[in-house]
Amino acid sequence: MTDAHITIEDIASTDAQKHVKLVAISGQLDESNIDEKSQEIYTLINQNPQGLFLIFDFEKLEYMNSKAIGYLTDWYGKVTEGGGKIGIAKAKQNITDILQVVGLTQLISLYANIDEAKFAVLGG
Amino acid sequence: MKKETKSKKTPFSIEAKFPADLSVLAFLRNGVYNLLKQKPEIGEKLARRAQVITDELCTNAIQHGSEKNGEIQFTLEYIKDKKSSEEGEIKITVKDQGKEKRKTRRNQKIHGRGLKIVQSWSDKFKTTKTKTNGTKVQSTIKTPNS
Repeated sequence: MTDAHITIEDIASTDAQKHVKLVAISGQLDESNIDEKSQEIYTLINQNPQGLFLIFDFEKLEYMNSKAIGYLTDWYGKVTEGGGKIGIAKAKQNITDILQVVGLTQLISLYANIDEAKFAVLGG
Repeated sequence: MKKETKSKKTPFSIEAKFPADLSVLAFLRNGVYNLLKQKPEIGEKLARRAQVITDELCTNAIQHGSEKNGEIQFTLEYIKDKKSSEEGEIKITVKDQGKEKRKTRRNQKIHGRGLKIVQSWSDKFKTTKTKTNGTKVQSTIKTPNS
């Protein structure tokens, strides 16, 4: 199985209704690991069905395949259904390129750094 | 009458056969990327796209075109135009052995984007059936990116 790691951290929020998480993904997401790795995010969504705000830190994400993009789209649907939001920070150029070609950047915004993503996702 | 000469040459062509197993994907796609990025006229962006195309086509061949213990044939060619020091094309060809068709239910929210990405980034894309009922897919990317 290809190497990939997900770490999830809480981000403090002044609004008790908002559950804000920083999700850092490193390594390469492909067909050999994405089904298993995606479960960590589904668990997070199931634990916070309402008001979940996810900021993905892609600084150390080197590769993602089309199925990983499929999961990201599904997470977007579930999170927004529950009144939350998703933002992506620090994506490498090859990740940005693949997100753009499938049109996902029209749904999920990309940010240069975590602070910018936090500010935009949490509404300033 | 002038004799026609081939206007293209192949700086390299690599052919590999590997087991139809998902564990080989990272090695293969990263190898393609590392090889192509060394050519300045190809550049980082096209090398990365070739990496994705390799991964998506091989994933499809392993999952949908191969029986257990099957084999995939992979070819990477970099063909340069003799008339130009920069223009050329990258050809990625993946051939599987075919397998019995089974109806499988797939979650359409998750699947179905791989070939669209490959087609979007290919200047030419073709799929043909092989004599052994397998599938041969070929993606061609022109260099430099225009």
